[in-house]
Amino acid sequence: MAPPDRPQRVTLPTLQILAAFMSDPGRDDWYGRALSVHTGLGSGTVLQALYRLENWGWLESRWEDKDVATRDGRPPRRFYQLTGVGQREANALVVARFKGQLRFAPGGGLG
Amino acid sequence: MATGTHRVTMSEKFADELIELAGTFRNVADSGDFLAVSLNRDIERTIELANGGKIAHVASTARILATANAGELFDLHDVTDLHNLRWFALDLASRLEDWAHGVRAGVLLGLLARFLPGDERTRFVAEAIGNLGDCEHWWQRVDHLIGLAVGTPRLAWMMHRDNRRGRA
Repeated sequence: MAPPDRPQRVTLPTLQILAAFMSDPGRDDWYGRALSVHTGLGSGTVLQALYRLENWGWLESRWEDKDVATRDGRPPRRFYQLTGVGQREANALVVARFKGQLRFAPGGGLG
Repeated sequence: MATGTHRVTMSEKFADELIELAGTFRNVADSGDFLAVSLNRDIERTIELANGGKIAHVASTARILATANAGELFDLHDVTDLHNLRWFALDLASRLEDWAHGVRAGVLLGLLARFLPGDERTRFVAEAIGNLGDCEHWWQRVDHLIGLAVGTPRLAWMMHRDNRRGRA
């Protein structure tokens, strides 16, 4: 992974992915396929957005416990979650982009 | 061109492109009726096969072909990779269900991974396999694979760009 970078522009698909994370900021088990289903974006688009966001330091990722995956009879997933920086930056970004169109629930999630 | 309810529309330009591409893979002419017919440069029969339901995702195939062209623009890798990708696109279109499972999906992922920087490939393949494991139906796996095929050249471009910046 390349060193953290600052976003020069944030694309609409990336905003959609961020919105998914912000709908439940404490969730630590988002994975590519779940985000694709949630947002309706293609798997490649989701992967690009996740790469960008992780590169900026807004997301962090980890592998699912192998034992859990084996118990469920499937391969392990790569889990993503918002970082503290990501939550602050995403809140500021979405508020700036959608001022007056969104309301936020207590704790930073989308209301 | 044949059009209508429940029928695939194939533009003459796209049919020509398929046939032209198929012509570069004469050594794999046994990989399906569609490819064989294309090799024979029989446009009408090619369209008939496409409209017969055997090839449900011709539009997706066009997207993969466009992706291969995008890869050329990015000058990512040897042209052999791009030719292979086109061949996979043709074979994928002719045998969608077969491609969605096991070893064949792994081969496609391995090919896509070759576009990425070396240190990103293992994670890419493992993550894709993890996501495929969540697909209940074979057509969901196909959609997932097609999405990856479409998005990977752009992802590869981003990764190579970031690597160059990191080295600078």
